[in-house]
Amino acid sequence: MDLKKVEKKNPGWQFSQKISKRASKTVLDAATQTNLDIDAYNMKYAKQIKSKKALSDTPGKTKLNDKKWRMMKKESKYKSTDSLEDPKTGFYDAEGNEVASQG
Amino acid sequence: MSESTTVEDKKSNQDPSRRFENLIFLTSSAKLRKNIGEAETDKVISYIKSIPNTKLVDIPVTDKAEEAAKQLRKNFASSTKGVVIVGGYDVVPSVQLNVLSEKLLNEIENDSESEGEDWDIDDFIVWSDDIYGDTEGDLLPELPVSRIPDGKNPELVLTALKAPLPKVLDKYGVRNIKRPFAIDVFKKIPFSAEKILEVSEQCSPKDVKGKSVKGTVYFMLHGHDHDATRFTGELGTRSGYYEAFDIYNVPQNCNETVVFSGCCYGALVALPKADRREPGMTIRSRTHEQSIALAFLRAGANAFIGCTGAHYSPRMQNENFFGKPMHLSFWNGIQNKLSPAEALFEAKKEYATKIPHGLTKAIYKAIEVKILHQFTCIGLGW
Repeated sequence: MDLKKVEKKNPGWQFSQKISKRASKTVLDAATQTNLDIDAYNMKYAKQIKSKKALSDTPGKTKLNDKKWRMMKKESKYKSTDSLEDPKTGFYDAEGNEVASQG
Repeated sequence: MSESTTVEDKKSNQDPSRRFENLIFLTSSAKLRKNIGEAETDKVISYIKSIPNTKLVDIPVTDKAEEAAKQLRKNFASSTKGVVIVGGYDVVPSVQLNVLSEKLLNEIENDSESEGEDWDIDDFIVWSDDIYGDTEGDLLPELPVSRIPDGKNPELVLTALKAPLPKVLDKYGVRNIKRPFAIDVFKKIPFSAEKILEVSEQCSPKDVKGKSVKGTVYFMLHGHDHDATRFTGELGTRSGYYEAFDIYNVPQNCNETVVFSGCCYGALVALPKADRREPGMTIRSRTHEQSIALAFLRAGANAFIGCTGAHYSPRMQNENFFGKPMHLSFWNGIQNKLSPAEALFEAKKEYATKIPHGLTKAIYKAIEVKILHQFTCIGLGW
């Protein structure tokens, strides 16, 4: 990922690859952890959805070219005087375009 | 127990005498009394008991959701239609859920394409109530679940318990200017009169006409874990954020309304957020003066659907991954005359079946798993 491309395509934002802080070990130990993998999610309700036709008629299985996407922290260079905004996570393709975001 | 929503279920939604048939109301009255008062809790309990063909399950105080769910399950029957929790997280605990299985975590950590990539701001740990509809023990529900948080206010609880079903008369929405995908979603929302999809930055709290915010309401904006009284959009011509909607925009009377919010932390009705909750830390419930979601309930809305953690969505209108498929499915359910609790349940089922919606990287799959688990129905929902 070329950070310069991202900055060029998204003027006014600053980016960092700083990793968001992870939860503490005590929180991780206290939390209930799922043990399902993606196949299990897919299978869980498959029969019910198939039998009554999915409610949504939108496509959802077209493979996306996301291998080169990058998840990064973005922060506006212009600070609001009304209220502070936390840095958010953006997703950028190899050309530096924002393809998705937190929010 | 119904496997999926049937034509019969839809009929029962439309028949007022059968609307609550086979619902279980779950609370812990001993704790609820401390939050909203003795006499007020008596009123709530007595009102629930007066609803025909329902069951009230009153469990002892516990801070362990698994224990509470175990108590509840003893009361399930084959005809049970859904569960309505009455009280905040300190009354009936929510699950502090780590949505990353060991297998998925390993997949992410071993993915060279994800090296140095950012991580979910909630560390994939969110509050989830789905355990109360789970009969198979896999943390995924077989029944719709909704929650009426007490918000330390008896009026809120009673108003929410008596909330009429949403009517598809008006629709209203506000979207972030950088999220044109929401245009597709808004088109799916049923209506028969007004239709306004406001766009930030043109829309600010001063421009919102309070009376328009009713019927079927959709927000696709930024939300904040530390401040649940405002949603923000982004600026169109330069970087930065712009306040789009705040708690003062919630109308005084919001009967016959359902709200769907694709905003981060939109349905986070207590603090701390799940990844910050250390063992023994006190849960602090929000009130209707501190949360847009609870303000809608206090005003009579039937349901507020939203996330307990950070939400993610695609940028472009033609993309359909992360949050968007959930939004579309939910409004399809409302269009098909499901109640909000059922519509969210059906949307979750469809979403689970289609994860990862074309995404291939493990960390993005994990984000979709998080989205599935963190969407929740606040309010009566039936």
